[in-house]
Amino acid sequence: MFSYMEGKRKFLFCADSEGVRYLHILVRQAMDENVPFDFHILQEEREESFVNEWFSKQKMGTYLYISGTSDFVKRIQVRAMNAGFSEHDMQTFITGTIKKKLICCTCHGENEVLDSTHVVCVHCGQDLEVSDHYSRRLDAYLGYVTIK
Amino acid sequence: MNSTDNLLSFPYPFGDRDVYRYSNNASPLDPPNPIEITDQYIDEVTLKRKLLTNHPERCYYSSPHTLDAQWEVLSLIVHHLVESYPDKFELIKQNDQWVFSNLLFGEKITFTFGDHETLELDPLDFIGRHVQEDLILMMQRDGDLFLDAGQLCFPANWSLYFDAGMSFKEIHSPIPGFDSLDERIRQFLMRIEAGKPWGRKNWSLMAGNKLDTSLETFAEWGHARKKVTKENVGELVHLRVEVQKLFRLPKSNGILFTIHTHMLPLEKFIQNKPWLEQFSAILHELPEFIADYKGISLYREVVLEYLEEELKKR
Repeated sequence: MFSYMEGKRKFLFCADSEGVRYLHILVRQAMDENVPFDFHILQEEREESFVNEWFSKQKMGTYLYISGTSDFVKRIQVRAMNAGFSEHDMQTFITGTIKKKLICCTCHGENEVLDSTHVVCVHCGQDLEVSDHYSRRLDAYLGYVTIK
Repeated sequence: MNSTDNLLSFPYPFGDRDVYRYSNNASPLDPPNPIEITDQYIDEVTLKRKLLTNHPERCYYSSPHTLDAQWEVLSLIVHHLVESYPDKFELIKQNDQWVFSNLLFGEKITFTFGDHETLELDPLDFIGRHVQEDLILMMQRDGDLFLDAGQLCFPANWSLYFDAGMSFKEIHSPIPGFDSLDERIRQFLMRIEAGKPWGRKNWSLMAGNKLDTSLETFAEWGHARKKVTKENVGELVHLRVEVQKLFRLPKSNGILFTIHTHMLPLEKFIQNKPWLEQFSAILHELPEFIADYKGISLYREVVLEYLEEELKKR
């Protein structure tokens, strides 16, 4: 869940229609403490195009909260990073199922995983065990071959 | 192939204690040489070059900002090679024009030092094809170390392709029981100074004698773990030791990490009685989580019985 960050100059709240409810407490706290904020709820993917400009206009000390489905959070996060936000400048909260990208250790092919612990690689057919080993560069988890 | 017959030159990895735990067992490197040429040189370098040609995506990775550090690595290794093995390597320098000769392979390469246009390969990839060691380059920034380049042909069941770009902590995150240790080792690495290299040894057991045990080919070689029997254990199971060396690069502030992998079948290893006695005790005591991580669990009992049988014979 989100935690309120003290001492920030400004907050940005960005949510899809699912994620919006998780931001209310933070918004109330920001109002109580007189911290300025922007709040955007994006209903559809095509509405996200202004986000780049929104992010690039921000100054140092701005803190970002993103709340929504796995895909939504990922898209907004990438745009924020491109605009210069670091991981320390934001918190994210994913509603619903978390989709993971899994890289097959044998063929390096990408697989999509919901909450299973084992999958069959769609590219090479190996039985893979879903691990916690995560690569930021690939934004993916590693799938280890299981030997029967 | 690829297992040494020479007991005397085998880098025995254990110290005084009959107990093994993960630790920072690094000690100052003496002599301070990143490279060692052994009797297997031609075989192993030939295998490395073949793997690099056939599987470049898993054997080599580099981020563009590492080029300067790569030239430092090339310089460090070339100078050590010609100084330590003058009968095998030669270097002629005229200003930045370098002529490097590998007499073992009968090769002579001319390039301008620092100008990557004059070399067909990245400097790290180039010099890695003249040594048995795997070469990993970690760059230091934002108070952390990142695996930003590497040539890795003989990995012990890990993937350079997947781990490329990771921080030290991210790379080691799957190792159980390593949590508190990794921060201390990371701090140690970041304090390494130029001109004061360090060395350490890492060990595991392998069913089979392949040096190129990449994670990518685990499905091919991992099966041997289930084929260890009382009859074949001495021949099939090998002690695999990595001699790892750490060098700070003074200009780029990167760290060069060289890994030389040695293998010895148990039937040779046990000929040395003190080794047999100590290893038997260590393997007997080894906690399950370490045995699991090292991939030994499936055949540990068979190995233990074998070692104990051999001890009785002495």
